[in-house]
Amino acid sequence: MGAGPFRFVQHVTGERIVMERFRDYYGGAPPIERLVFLPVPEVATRLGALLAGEIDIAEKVPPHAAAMVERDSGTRLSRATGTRSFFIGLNCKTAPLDDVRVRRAIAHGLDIPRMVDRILSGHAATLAGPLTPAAFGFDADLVPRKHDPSLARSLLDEAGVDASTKLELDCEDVNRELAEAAAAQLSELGIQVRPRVWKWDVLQPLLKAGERQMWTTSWGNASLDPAGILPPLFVTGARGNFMGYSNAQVDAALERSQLAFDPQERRALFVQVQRIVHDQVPAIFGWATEEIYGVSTRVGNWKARPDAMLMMHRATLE
Amino acid sequence: MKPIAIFRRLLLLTLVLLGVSIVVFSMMHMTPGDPIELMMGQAGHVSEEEVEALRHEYGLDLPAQKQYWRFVTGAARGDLGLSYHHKQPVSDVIGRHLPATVELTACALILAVVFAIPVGVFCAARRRTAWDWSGIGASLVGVSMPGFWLGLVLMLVFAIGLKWLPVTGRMDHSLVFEPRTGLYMLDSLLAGDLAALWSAVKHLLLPAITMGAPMAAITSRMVRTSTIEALQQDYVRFARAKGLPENVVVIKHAVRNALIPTVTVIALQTGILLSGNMIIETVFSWPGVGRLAVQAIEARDYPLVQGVVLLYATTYVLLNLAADLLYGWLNPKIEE
Repeated sequence: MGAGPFRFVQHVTGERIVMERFRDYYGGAPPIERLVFLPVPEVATRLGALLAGEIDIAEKVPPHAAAMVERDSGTRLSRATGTRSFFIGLNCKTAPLDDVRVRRAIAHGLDIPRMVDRILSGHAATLAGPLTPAAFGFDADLVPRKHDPSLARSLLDEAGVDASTKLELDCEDVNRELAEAAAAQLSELGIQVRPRVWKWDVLQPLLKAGERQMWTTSWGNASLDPAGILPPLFVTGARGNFMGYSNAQVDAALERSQLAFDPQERRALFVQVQRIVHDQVPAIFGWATEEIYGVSTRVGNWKARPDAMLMMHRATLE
Repeated sequence: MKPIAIFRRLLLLTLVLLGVSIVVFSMMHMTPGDPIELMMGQAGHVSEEEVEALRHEYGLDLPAQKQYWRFVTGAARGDLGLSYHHKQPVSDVIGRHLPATVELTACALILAVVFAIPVGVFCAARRRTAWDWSGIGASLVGVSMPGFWLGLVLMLVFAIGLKWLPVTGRMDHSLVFEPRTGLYMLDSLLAGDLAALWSAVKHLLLPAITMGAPMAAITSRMVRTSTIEALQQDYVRFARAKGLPENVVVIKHAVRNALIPTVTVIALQTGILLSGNMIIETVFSWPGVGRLAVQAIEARDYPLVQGVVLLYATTYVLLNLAADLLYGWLNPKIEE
């Protein structure tokens, strides 16, 4: 299949995919003779298999387990800032979040670097907008909103939001701690924020119906092109635009970006969109987590990539 | 059991399956979650028209009662529909995952019975001694331990710590092995491949022990109780009066009768084993029907969830029927 350095040997559904070295590969035969991909969805089991020496590379190591993998003499970590940006979506159609001052206040009320440091053990890069640094058209001039509780409080006062305001922050179990920390920080502003944990398949239709207020979510793709990220998230009525966000300039720029061929023009349009959404805060842009892999010390010449592709051509195995 | 009674039970099975299908269909459709939206995920720029076209393709735009009718009439013809996620007939998908579950359940059952019967009899024969209390304590621990916890502890000790047994999968991935029946132990025996057989046994041990532990605990308590009861019967007193050695009295006269109620418990427990395998299969990445069911529920793969639940319900009813038949065979007085 294809013309890669490995060729397909066997697929046992739900169990394994086996590939073997293609000796006639035009780029030179790879040093590793055989690759076996095993689906191990349970994190504890995946790490157990790595530490037991049963597998050589384990993907998606959670940040809290990274230190354990690093400590083990037979394993090491390989990390790269990923292409997925995490953010807190805000329902721009219902009060009080329909007021941009409230959305800005919430952005200033959150101490994202602290959350990244404490909960993600520093395994993430903070973001000012919806794109990750490796993405085409990433606006490096945007600066994340500063954590400033007094400014946040004055913005809330200006918008007439008082202590009786109740908000709910939805998350999946994997983001529970982050949602709890965010809720605690926002409660310090004098508003009542309650985190709620959901299964994504249950939460998604409620978000689509515009029935929720705030939620942690993420978006990204390996192509590193904003075409798969910005239009579905921010165009009016787009399928990923659960925020209910609508801005004529953003719509026009993103429509143009899909027709334009000139990379410079596309880049300028994407930068324009990033600046508008940064200003209008339909979501609080948070962080890009690292792609963390646990790797056996037997594996050489291999490292994690931002797009999460597993390039095994040059890798070696003792 | 008379043939007419068996026929009646099989008729009842049809009703049970119909009831189960209604309950599962209603629950799946009442729970929020859209299979098409979940299927599309973050597939970039997808229009609402494309989403609707896909919804139409799977018949999800039909009213719920029409969808149910399509499912029931299809199932009556042996067609459980097409899995949304696997894009293949549900029966094929289940068929591919079933051998792994059958092999694991059978091994858990064998381990549980082989452990439970001697322990239960031993405790009964030494009633109110330290042995008996230890047995009761161990069975209490066995019943109380959650499967996922026991699985992780066993993994930590025997796989990561001692490196005696593997953590995941069904076979060492360095072995080139083409399964025939999907029952790896049987396949490796048929192929005369001892290395593969040893690998299959090693991979089975931890999940089978985890799965069998609660069943062993319950069964051993049942065997103990019914053996104690049997030991107090007149025929046992008579056997002792004849001067038979105590072990002959216990094994030949008491245990044989004590095992009759145990058969029912084992049959019912096997049904529970099957339904409990969702957690164990997920913890050990065992590619069986339990893990498939979890994935199907998360993806709102309605036809696949229905198929798996119908399989569980059928197995449970048939196991009950088998227990009743066996009961009558073991104790003809009940038959009369």
